[in-house]
Amino acid sequence: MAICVNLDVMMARRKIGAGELAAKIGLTPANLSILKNNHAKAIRFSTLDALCEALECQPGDILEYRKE
Amino acid sequence: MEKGRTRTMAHILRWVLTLTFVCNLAALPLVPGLVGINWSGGAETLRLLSESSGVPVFQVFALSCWQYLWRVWRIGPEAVVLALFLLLCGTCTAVILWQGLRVLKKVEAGRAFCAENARYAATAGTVCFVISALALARFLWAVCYYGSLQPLFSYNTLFIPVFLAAGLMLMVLSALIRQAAELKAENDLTI
Repeated sequence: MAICVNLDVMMARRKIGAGELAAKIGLTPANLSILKNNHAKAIRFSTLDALCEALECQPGDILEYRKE
Repeated sequence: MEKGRTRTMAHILRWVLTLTFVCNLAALPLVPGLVGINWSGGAETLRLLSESSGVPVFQVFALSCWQYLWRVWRIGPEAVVLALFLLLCGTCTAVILWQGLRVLKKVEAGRAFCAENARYAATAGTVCFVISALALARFLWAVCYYGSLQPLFSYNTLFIPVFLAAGLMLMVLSALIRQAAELKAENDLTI
């Protein structure tokens, strides 16, 4: 897919672990892993909202369009 | 609640299908015997044989079935075609029942909409087409053999549209399950 999720980059920048982030935004670690590894088909606005709030960033910092 | 009821119904249906599948497999080796007995006078001959020899009817039936396994092929073209048709159709119905059992197993496990179920339904549909084609072949053979349209009014002719429709329905069902499986995967992967 041309849309890439750079969640691991943002997590490294904010020095936050997957378990901690999952607990903070109310996602299961398994679902966070799907998102982090680019296996998700779609992302809800509510999830994006929670991620941006927890990582103090913009949606553009997490999502990136790469031409294939 | 609804899920639990579906699983219960699938469980019951699976038992019924298993029983039917076992009966189907058990009946397959008896086909040449049944055709042979039917050609040599039917149940009346069995009764007469049993009375004259003093052997129970069931034993005479079993012995006749065993003998006709290879003798039926020498009775005549009509008996051979009937035995072949019933044997092939019996095998096909066993395959359909087996696919049904596999689908029900997935439904019981709570995975009704998956790619495997779509494949099983498509296989069952293809086998239905095979039965329809076999019936058509037998019908055409009978028309040529008897030189009349009388075979048009037999149960065999009914097999052609019935199994064709069943095959088409199973193909549509397979496409629906595949589509549902794709939607489910998309829904599951929406975070």
